[in-house]
Amino acid sequence: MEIKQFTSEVLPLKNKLYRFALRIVGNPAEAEDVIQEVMIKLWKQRDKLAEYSNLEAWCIRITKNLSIDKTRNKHYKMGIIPEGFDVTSDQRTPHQVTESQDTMQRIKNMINALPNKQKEVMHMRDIEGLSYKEIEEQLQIPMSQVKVYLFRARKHIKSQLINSENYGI
Amino acid sequence: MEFNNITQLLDKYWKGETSLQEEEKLKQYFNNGKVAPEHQQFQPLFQFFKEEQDVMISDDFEKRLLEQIKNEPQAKVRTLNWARSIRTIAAVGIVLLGSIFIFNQVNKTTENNTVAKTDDRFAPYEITDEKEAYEATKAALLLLSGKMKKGTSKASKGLIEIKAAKKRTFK
Repeated sequence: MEIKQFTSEVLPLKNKLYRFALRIVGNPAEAEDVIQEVMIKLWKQRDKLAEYSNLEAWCIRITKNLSIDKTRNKHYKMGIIPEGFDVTSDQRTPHQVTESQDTMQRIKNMINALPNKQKEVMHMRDIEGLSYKEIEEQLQIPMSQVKVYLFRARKHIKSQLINSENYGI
Repeated sequence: MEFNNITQLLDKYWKGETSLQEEEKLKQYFNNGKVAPEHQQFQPLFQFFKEEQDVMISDDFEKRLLEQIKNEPQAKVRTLNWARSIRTIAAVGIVLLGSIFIFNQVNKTTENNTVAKTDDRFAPYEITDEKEAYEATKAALLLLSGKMKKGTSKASKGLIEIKAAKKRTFK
């Protein structure tokens, strides 16, 4: 695989892989490091890439493994750098912006607190918009299990949302 | 979009029964249109999904990566030098043949010595008569059983001592 082919076939996956890594490591700088590592690894294996029937699934698997390795690093501390929100083009008042950021952070915490499999399946379905079949292939989980994880994740998030609305938790 | 329709879709969504198209409808409803008060508690979730979909890696990531890739040390391509290869193969062949020859020589000498030594040592004791062989075997087995008997009695003595010590300790 030449650099041109690599740029057209592998590099377009960078944002999707980045979001997935970010879901696991929870820190933009760390997630970017992971993707850089993933891309270098893929480049080094470029002659073998044609052998993979589902390149995207392979990339997701490498990203997942490297992200998990990152979180296992003893020096790793989750959430050192809070994720920023672009407020430059926002028409809302500073109070509204802060409130909205707090709400988004609350949702993010709810999702991040889910068990890993549920979190990954929910990310693939609700953020990346993948079909059950695609999730099955990319996460290497049977489709029936994908549905169970998604159901549990949504049920949990729903109850959390209702609780926070009713009791301000 | 009809209120009832959205309520139904939401029910299906929580049960994990919505299709991708239906989920897209929900995302549009919560992110674009006017949201009914009954649904507002779920709005942040769908807004979060929308925001997360737009998360991108740094703009200069690709440029930095490509630069790094270009600077990666390339694997050296070696051209085959036939004269050099033949010399190497010949040298390896000579060493291999030499080793085999030396190994065979050493092996032969050792074998001869061992056979000769064995013969010399045991020749005077070799038993040729059947009766004599029977007696020798019988004597050997008797010696063995005697030793075993001695071992058993020693072990039982030891056991008695252990039992006594145990009794004294846990009185």
